[in-house]
Amino acid sequence: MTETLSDAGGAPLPDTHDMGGAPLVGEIAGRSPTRLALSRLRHDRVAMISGVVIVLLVLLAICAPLVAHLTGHGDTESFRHGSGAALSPENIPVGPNHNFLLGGDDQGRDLLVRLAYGARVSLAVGVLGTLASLVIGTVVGIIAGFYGGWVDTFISRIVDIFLSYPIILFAEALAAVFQPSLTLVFVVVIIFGWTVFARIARGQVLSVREREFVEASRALGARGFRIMFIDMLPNLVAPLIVYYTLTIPVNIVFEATLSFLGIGVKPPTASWGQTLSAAQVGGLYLVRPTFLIFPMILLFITTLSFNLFGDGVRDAFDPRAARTMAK
Amino acid sequence: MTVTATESASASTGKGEVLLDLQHVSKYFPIRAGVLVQREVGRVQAVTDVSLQVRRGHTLGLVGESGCGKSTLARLIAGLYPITEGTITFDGEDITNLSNRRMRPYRRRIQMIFQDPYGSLNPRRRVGAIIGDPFSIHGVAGGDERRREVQHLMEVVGLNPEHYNRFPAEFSGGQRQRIGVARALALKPDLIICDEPVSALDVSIQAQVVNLLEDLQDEFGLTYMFIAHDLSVVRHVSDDVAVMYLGRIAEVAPADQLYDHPRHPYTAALLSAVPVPDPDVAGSRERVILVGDVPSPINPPTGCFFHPRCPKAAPDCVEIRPELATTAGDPATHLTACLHPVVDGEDIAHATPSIDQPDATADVAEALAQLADDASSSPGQDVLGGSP
Repeated sequence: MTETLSDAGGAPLPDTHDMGGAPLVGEIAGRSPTRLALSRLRHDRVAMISGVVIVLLVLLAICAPLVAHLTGHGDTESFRHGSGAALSPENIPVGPNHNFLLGGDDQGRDLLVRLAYGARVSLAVGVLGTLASLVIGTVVGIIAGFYGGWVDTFISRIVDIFLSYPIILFAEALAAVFQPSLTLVFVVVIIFGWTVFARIARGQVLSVREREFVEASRALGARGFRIMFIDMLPNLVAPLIVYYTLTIPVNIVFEATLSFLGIGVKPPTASWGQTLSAAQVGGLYLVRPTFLIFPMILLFITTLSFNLFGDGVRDAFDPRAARTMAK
Repeated sequence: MTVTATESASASTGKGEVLLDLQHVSKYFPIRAGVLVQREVGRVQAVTDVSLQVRRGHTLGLVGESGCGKSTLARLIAGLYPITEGTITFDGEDITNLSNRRMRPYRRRIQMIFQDPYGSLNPRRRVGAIIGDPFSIHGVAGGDERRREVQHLMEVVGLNPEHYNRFPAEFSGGQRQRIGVARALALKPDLIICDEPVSALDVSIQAQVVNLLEDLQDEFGLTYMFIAHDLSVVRHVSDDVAVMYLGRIAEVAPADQLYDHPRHPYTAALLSAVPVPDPDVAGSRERVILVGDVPSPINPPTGCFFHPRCPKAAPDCVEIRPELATTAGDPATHLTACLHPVVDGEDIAHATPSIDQPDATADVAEALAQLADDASSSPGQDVLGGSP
């Protein structure tokens, strides 16, 4: 042993064995774990198809005014009378025709335009509302896990309380006190959404906290904030991203549910849930099934593609986990 | 190596020769139980009454078997845990249990290299960012300057500066340990605590890292506290060596003195376990085989902690706890905590204790007999409790 030590002098010179013999070709950019995951995701065909569908939906939402412009039908404009009306004389919505590609709705508006505008609300709540809960939940969860003790107990009990609330009932109560509005939907989504993210972040922090690199950072003199958000946060990204993509469809359905119950967005703002609700008033869908079927298909495709995409994201970030269908 | 390092270090600072002074340092971890009201039901005595001095520009080796408190002691010095009793003096100033804010200036001067080259580097951050951390934490260098400093450090420790943007997973174990060394070097510390820096590496890589550490010591006048369980490595790098057993210092002496004249039976046993390269010597040598396991630090033995396993244990070892003291004929720097130190030329491989010691084999036999009894008394049950 002693002989070996003295033989291998000149340590500062990198030994070829130690360097792994990596040839130097220009600037070597390291591939981050995130980048590796994204490249795995690119090879997942189902996830990529869902991704394309999601992009199309986003385009539909963004281009809703364009749709209105092309059809010549405003999103709140009613066509009740005359030959080009969207309502029959008996106040039944017309079926798909060359003028109204998806038919009309109960107020004589163009269903296509309504659904395009409805996509805006759905995606806003799904993507942005969930994003807000992600941010709040992550920060709170990291703090709980990092400080532990009574801070952790306090936060965890609050999370438990929120999770034990009947959400719909709570939303109804809020809608009764304040007026139903898009803001209210956001508030409800965020208030009840952050808790699960907080739990995930806390659990991850508890496991990361004992790793040696955290100790190394503390030995260097790093403060709590730095350890939490520079050292630990990058190690929480994977599970949080996965859960984020899987929560988006849940919240889209949730928005539709609230609007369906009349405690979501207020008319005349378009929303898929509201359209579904209008379709079942007085059994309209029995006479004009397309009025119900088109928003349903759209909602179905949206949630399905977000779920499949989220599944793909999970597989990409954690290749070892068994592939299972999202909730 | 030692001479130059000492000269450059003492010439630059001119302060006392002792850089780090531990006086009666103890660390107990409480064991709590209870649902609502947590009650202390016991304590793990990880480090007990440790007094050590580390000389400026020198290397103190710390050896002992797993679980003897070496790493805990390292973390106490690095200020990662508060200590229960005692004082830590660094460069003439008391740094015992300072608040985080007041400890910060000392954190720059005391750095640590960790055992696990995989766990001690954040897998999600780039190497450049990891080595640059000390700069950003202490607000020393920013932007391009930091990048230059980091790349210079990478060169110093023998890494390719081009790999600045890589992730730890793209390096081998030895390279990762170099990253850890670079991070420790960044702020030009006085003391580096090396917590088993080479234990996780291949032997060939160990030599490289050890040599790197030695070269850096010469170059920067560093003081090391070098923790290891590999006695050959410790002898190679250390000026002084302390032997730890069950949270206490058993013996401390200049390296050659300790290796040539071990006084504590535990040291002698450790040394006899070191493989010898010469087959003739190896064949003629007798190893001291210790019986039993290390006792639990929750409930350490009375008297001398080592008496249950000591081949020389005598009745007074059970009663009296030996303090570190110089054995007759040894230099004043050689301290041993033993009532019956080993004499030069004494062969303790055949020594027999004059007290009853718990015998591991007897315990097993007893347990087996107990099992057999249970089996015969309740025939319907599977004694081994193994429902598949």
